[in-house]
Amino acid sequence: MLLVNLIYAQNPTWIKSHHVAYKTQFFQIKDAFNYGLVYNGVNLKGEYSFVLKSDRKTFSYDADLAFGVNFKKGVALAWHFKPIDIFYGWRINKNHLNPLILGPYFATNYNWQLYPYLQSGHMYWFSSIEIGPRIEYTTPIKSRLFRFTMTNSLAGWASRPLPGTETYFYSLKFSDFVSNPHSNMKFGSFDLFNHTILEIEMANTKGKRLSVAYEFEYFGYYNDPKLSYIAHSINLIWRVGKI
Amino acid sequence: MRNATTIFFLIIVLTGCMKDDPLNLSFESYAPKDIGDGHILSCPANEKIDSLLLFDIYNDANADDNLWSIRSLLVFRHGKLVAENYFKDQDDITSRHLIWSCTKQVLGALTGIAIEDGVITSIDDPISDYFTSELSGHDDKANISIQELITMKSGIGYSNDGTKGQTDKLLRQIPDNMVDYILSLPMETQPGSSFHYKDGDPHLLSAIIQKTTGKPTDVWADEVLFSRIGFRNYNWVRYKDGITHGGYGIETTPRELAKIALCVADSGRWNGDQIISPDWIIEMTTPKATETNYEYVMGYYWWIDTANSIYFMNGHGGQYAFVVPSKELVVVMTAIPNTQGDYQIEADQALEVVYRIMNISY
Repeated sequence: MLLVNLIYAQNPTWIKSHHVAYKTQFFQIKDAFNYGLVYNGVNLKGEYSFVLKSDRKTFSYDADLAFGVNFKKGVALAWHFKPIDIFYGWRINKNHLNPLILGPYFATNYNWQLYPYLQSGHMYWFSSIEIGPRIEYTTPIKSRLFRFTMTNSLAGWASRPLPGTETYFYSLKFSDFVSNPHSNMKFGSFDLFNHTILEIEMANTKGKRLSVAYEFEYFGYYNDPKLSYIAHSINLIWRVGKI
Repeated sequence: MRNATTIFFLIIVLTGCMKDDPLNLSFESYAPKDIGDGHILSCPANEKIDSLLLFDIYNDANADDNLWSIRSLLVFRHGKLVAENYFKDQDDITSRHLIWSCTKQVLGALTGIAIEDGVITSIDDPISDYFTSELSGHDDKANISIQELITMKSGIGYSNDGTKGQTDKLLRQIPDNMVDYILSLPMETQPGSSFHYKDGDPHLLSAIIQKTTGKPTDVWADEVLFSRIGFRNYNWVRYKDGITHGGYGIETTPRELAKIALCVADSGRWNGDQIISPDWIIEMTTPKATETNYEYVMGYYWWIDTANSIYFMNGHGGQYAFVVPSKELVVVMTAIPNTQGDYQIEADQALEVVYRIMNISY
């Protein structure tokens, strides 16, 4: 918030907006730890966004939380938490009616999975603290406004459980949900992980608060144990406050 | 809108198509390898097993979705290893994995040695002969006998539920003193009156052996049994209070697990040496708990398929060692160990494989 206030204070011409989004995701997780089985499931995700826009610059902050169930051999549970996603971008073309905005983002992502039928008592996770480029292009098509956004990690830290021997003893405490995704963090770039998000938003036209988006997300972890995560979602985005 | 929907589902079809990795390696041969662990190797034909049909059994086990979690299948006849396969990873030939409650059957065999060696005077002894200070405040447990512990008829209200019962606390090592915790549980039935499968009874039995021998049960077991049968590649874990687990706790390989079963199959002998009393082997594999609520009955921790005269070790997740005296067969099957419910190999599924092997053993 301090960062937001600093940016806002420097340039009062910024236009402030708040958005909340409800996302229904179809997702797949393939984890080498889980015998390479692909679990398919559904996530329900809520997201909050705060956006500051001026003619040439954009700043945004996002946070989201998701809960899901997925299935293969028995049911599994999944959580996702993104407490921070900060983006600062500059319009790089001259056409302010079709702005092309490019800039860096910084995000933290935490994903937890429990497979009670196959991995009784054991928590799996993948998490990342990442930076990379984000590009956003907005254009009117017929009577609607479309926004295309692409985000791709460039580098950062990623965490996965350590390959370990089987053990009779386990202890799953609430604090493990915090400590585990921060353990075994490795720094790397595309050799370690890749996180891609593509979004096509049919943006709110003048006077309308609701917009709809399709979002595709991919996360791949390339060290052992390998992991692939794919999610497709339909997002309903509601702009709150004054339009 | 229709076009948008079509595009959306097209994207899902094109990108949402991750495929499972193969759960098993391709099966090529069941020929056993000589790794110098003391097993005598042979081949099916020499031991009068139909080798082609045995190949089919391995192939079927590899392809059977009901046996998807199978990790190893080993066949011994006349005390010799004639076939083995490791379905997930060839390194499992020497890699230790959890055998869960097969540990109970090891403890059953050890109890015979304890009685033979005078560590336990009589199977009819009340536990108060061994637990003195431990029973302080738990007088209702004083008359439970060793016999009742080893047939799971102690009557102690111990639940084996891994999430809500006392085994959950055992697994997570919550009580500081597990023996005191078990003894402080209320009685649910009179000792000896009914069978109730649980980890609490073997844990108490292990604690009695440990107290009497003055050394951890696993250390004593190594002296009197494991070292004598070449059971070397193992670990037997202890509770945090130092008591060796009796209900589970051994990590070992399928080939090592087979050594326990082979010793039992040979009336307690190993390479001609009598390790366990033959009388104990008979008692241990004779039904003692017949109303088990399971398909099979129990002797001294050993499960018995009475209809087919098979006795076996049985651990959570699909860990088995079957002894078929009539055919001089021992079959070991292990599986991924932490599976629950329908996703583990049940005894009847594993026994179907054993029956097929019996039918091609002449």
